[in-house]
Amino acid sequence: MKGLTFLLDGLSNAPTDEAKQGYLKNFLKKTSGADRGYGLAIAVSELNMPTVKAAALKGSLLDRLDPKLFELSHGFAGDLSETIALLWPAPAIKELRIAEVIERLKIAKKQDLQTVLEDILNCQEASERRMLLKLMTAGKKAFLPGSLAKSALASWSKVDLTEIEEVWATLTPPYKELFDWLEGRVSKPNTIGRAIFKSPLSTIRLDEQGPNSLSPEVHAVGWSWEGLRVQLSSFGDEVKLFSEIGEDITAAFPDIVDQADFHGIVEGVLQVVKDGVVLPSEMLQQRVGRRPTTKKLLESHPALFRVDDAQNLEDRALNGLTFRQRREALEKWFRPRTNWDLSSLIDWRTIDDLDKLREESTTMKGVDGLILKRWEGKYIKDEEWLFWLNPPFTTTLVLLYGEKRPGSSQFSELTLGARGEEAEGGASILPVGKVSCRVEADEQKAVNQWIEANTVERFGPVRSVAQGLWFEVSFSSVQKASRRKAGLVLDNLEVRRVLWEEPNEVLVSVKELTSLLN
Amino acid sequence: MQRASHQAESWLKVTRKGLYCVPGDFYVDPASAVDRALITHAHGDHARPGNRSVLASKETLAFMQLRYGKRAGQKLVPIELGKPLSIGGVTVCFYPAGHVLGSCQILLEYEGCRVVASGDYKRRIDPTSQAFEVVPCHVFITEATFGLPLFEHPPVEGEIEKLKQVRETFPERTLQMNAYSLGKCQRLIAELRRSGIDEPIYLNGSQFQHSETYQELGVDLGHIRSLEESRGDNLKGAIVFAPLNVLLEQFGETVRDPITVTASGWHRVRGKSFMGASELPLVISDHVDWPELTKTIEEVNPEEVWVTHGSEEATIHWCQSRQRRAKALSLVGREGEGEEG
Ligand SMILES: [Zn+2]
Repeated sequence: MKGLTFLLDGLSNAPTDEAKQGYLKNFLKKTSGADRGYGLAIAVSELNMPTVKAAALKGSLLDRLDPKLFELSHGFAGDLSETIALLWPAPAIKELRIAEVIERLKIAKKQDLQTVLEDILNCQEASERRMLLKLMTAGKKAFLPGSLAKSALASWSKVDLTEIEEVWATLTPPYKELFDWLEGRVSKPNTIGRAIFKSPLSTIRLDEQGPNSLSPEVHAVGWSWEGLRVQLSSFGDEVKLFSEIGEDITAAFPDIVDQADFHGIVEGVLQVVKDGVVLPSEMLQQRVGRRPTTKKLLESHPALFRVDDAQNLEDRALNGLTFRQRREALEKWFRPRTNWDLSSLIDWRTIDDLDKLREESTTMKGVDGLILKRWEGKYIKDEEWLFWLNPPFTTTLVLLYGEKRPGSSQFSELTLGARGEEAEGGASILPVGKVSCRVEADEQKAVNQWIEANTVERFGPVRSVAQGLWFEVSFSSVQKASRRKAGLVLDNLEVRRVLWEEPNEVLVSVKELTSLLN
Repeated sequence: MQRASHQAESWLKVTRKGLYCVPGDFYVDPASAVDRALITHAHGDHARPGNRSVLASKETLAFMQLRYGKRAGQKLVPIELGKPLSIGGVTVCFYPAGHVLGSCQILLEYEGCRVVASGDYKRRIDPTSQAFEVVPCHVFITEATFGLPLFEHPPVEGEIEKLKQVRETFPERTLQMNAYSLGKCQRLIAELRRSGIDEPIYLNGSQFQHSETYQELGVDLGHIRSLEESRGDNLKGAIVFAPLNVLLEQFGETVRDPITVTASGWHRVRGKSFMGASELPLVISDHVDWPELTKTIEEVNPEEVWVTHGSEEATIHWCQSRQRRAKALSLVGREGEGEEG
């Protein structure tokens, strides 16, 4: 278990994705067999651990510890499971294998689980006890996104990432077939009759001047829908919905998945659309984040799947066909289903037409520009789709709150504000959007330090800060948000630059932003 | 007959300036400048500048001079450990406390009553500090920085092993070490040496100066280099004691994504250890943990325990539940300054 605590601590504290992958590769190198597989599964939150209530263990700890000393310790540490883990007297410390621990817990009958767990705790060091109790009491949590784990596996094993992505969703911990294959003992796991993920084509974003050497003979054009690009894979009895990076989001979208009465892999964009109106991307995020989803959410945030391509239809691979041929097959195959739509192509002749189309798209809700595909392009590696997106708006906002993502030491989730109504004693600052701060590691560190030093109040992982840090941001549109004080929210907010000094111009006002509502 | 410990309260007083010995007319670790001060060790929350006469171990005096220069005191009196001396009818004797180089416990004996002011102390073997000595007494004045049963420092070897594993995982990344410049820094260097690391270790300003003083006082730290004088060096994969911004500003060319390392007893509890946002939080402390604190009280076996800074409540409760008298001693200016645990 020592190797696992080292891995999970490293993943929790590492400042960059590269470092996180380094910890995982080190773990893959140093462990083997089921230990390695279970460790990987825990890191990416693919293992269903049996759960216990920390309070149940408290009783058995209090048989051996003064209750007052327990209460004082709990008061200091705050967290019950950590308090119990640290105070647990372990009379027989020895190194337990990861697989042994997991399997003992897994096969334990419900009524024996606590005894089995206590036996294990008796052999573990404090940091191991803490980790195990956290895993069993705190609910599932990914220490590393699956996409990063897969690319670390690829770089560790020298097997192509796309091949790993393809089989990943068909495997279960401790991934024996995966490691047997990656280490060359057997051939690639069989995926017949399984819903697999196949890497999507890469995309290029054209600069704002747009394309110069395009012709209607070469390029097909469609609207670029704002939302989440997904792949719906259906084979045998299995149906899965994947994000662009192969994350399994099936449980979040039964309204889409349940309509899959076919075999194949179709792709497109998910949006939240109600009464024909595309709702803010924030609402889509809420849908993605809730797995399994709720009935209420299905009603309030209905999803729409805008299908625009396919890699396989009715067990026939289309990768070798040109886009013209795939489109023909797709149109022939497609029939309207609830919450599904076929994304149409747009006629065009000249670059001027394109310019106008793109201009037009700025007034359309849920569209952020145009997508261009080569008529003769096959669905194979090195083929690229082009996006000609509307220039985003830019402005400067001030930091209001910083938040750590679960398990992270970085304040990466920032709530930014604009100037509200003028009142006596100056204008208030109202939140207008939340953004994931993606800046260089050193700058992120400086942001962390600034937030630590300027914290006004703490609410769990959230800190409110004094005004004094500004961010140059871009956003694609302004959306109405009646529940917010500002009455609006900025969509697709991205940080362009951290401004360490107060900007010269006055902070943008909510009023000015409101004028951009379309 | 009166308890000896009860009697102690009549001649040893807690005042605004700190612990004051009435018949001897001196203070122990005063919080502000006094006429005569007995100093347990040179950490900023125990040794303040501006006292007229200062009695302390020769190492403590050396560190005070390094930090305060002329303000260390008008008259500096080095005290030999284990040699009693008499001040105004009070017999005073210094014993090693094992906290940092030169740190002492001070025994005060007056009219048959023995009081030990232990300052900060630890029981772990530390190659850079003389080992703590058990001094029998009637009243034992103890710190309780980690006075909760949660706190149990793991063996230092295991923590150093973690550091070596991280290095092996990332041979190119520089280790940016954060450690208090007196004590923690040198102990970490000595432990790294003990684990077989013999390459040059780089140190920033104050950490380098303190380490040089350690070397002059006879503690071998191996090859240490001043960071300031190493401008041209490639620090890829090196071990460097310096603040992160100094490292990045001056060596940004070769140092990318350094591994930040911190060492503290507080890291035992997770909630706290995340606050410093360090990549490698090592549980290494210069203070006793709970098992050592309680073991020490049992070994010293005083009639009464006076508990200073830290989690007094649990320590006092523990003593009382074992039929030992105990009380909190609230000394001013003793919390959080300089030291990191
Ligand atoms: Zn100290």
